Amino acid sequence: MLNNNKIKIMTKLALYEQGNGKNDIKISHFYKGDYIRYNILKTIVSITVGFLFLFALVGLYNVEYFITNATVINYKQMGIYLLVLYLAAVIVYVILTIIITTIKYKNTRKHLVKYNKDLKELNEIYKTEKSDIR
Amino acid sequence: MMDLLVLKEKVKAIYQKYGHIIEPVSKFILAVIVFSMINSTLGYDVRLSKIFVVLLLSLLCAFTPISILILLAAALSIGHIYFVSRVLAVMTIVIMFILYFLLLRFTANLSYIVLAIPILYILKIPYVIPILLGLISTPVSIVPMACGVIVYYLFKIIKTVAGIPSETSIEDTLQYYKYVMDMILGNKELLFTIIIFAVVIIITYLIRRQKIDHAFDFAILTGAVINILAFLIVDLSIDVSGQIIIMIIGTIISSGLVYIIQFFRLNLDYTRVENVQFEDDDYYYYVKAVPKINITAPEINVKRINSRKGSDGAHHLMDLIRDDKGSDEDTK
Repeated sequence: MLNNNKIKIMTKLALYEQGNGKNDIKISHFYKGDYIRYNILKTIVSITVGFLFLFALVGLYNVEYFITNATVINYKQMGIYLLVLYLAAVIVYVILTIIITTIKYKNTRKHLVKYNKDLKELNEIYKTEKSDIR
Repeated sequence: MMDLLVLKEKVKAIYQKYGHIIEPVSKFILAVIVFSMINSTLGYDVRLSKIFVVLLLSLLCAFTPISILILLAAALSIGHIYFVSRVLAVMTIVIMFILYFLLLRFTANLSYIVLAIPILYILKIPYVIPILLGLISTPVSIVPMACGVIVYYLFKIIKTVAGIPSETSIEDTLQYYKYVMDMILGNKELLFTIIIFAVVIIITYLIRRQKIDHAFDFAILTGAVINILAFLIVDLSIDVSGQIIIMIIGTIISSGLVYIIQFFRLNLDYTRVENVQFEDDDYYYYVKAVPKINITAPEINVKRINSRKGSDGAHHLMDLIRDDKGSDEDTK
């Protein structure tokens, strides 16, 4: 026998799982701290790659200056300057990442609470179905 | 106004019913427009400009997420640029990577703006973007907006330097590279455009958040006025006055378009017919979930008032015919 109530709930669950839920459920596999740390890691990798490209672009632009003044450039100072620039960017980006991912994690929790409620309801229906058979 | 509201509901109902057809078709049309525009502005490589290629790429975009369209548009542009100059192509790729890794990665859901700005620039109505973003988004959208403006000016500069031969010797290539970079970094128009667009986004956003009547209308109007004034000042001061009339007309058309979009804007969680599949122990289910449509159907009230001269000269209400009987709505 088809159980209409069950189909309704299953459809609701399937719609969520195929839509927004896909991402939410993926996030729900992480603990909050792990999720934030994972995103911080991704951010740092991303900025590092971005900065490498940026330095390459700037370096190539000034390549003539480097060649002509190769002996007089204070490489240590330049290195420190670039490092400070990079670290400052990392700090700003990491703070932003923490704020954004915390909000995102909180929002997915809200959706998942509703999803879990529906799952429990489905479970109840299964239980009653089984007891009916017996 | 009533007719427009009914039209809005009808459009919404059609979308709900045929969303699964409308979406790929509109994506396909959008993709054709985007690729044709790239080909008409940067069409150096004849092989990539062929209509067959455009249609094939568009077909691919119709069934994939919008990010694929952005990626393919970037790839097509770079393909054209590579045909004229390898140095320029590499530069473009590096600049795009920098934009992506440092800025766009964090606002990935708004990345379509990067594509929209150059396209709307070609149509002379880029002013749609800042006003619209102020209305529907948050000031975070300044980031992709800035990227879009940079991409547009990058391509504009590439178009002007594409004729110069670049690959004769290493020294010449370096000079060429420096020349292009100077053009990008020294471009005041680029800088001022980003600043003005950012200001328009912030002000439009702030006004639409106010709890006043017609906040959205005021926001559009203020955004447009600020846009015109700011560009007027900038255009006059950096002497590109040839564009002023186009800019003013473009802003007026843009604000009109934003007004229309704002009117037709559907709920952000708009639903449509969905097909889902799942199974339990006994059955496979193929369910078609159809959203409930609550259209405010045009309630036709036909009041036929026949005036007849009575003995006292008064008018009699002869007929009051309603096509929908028994509804409380009718008596409104």
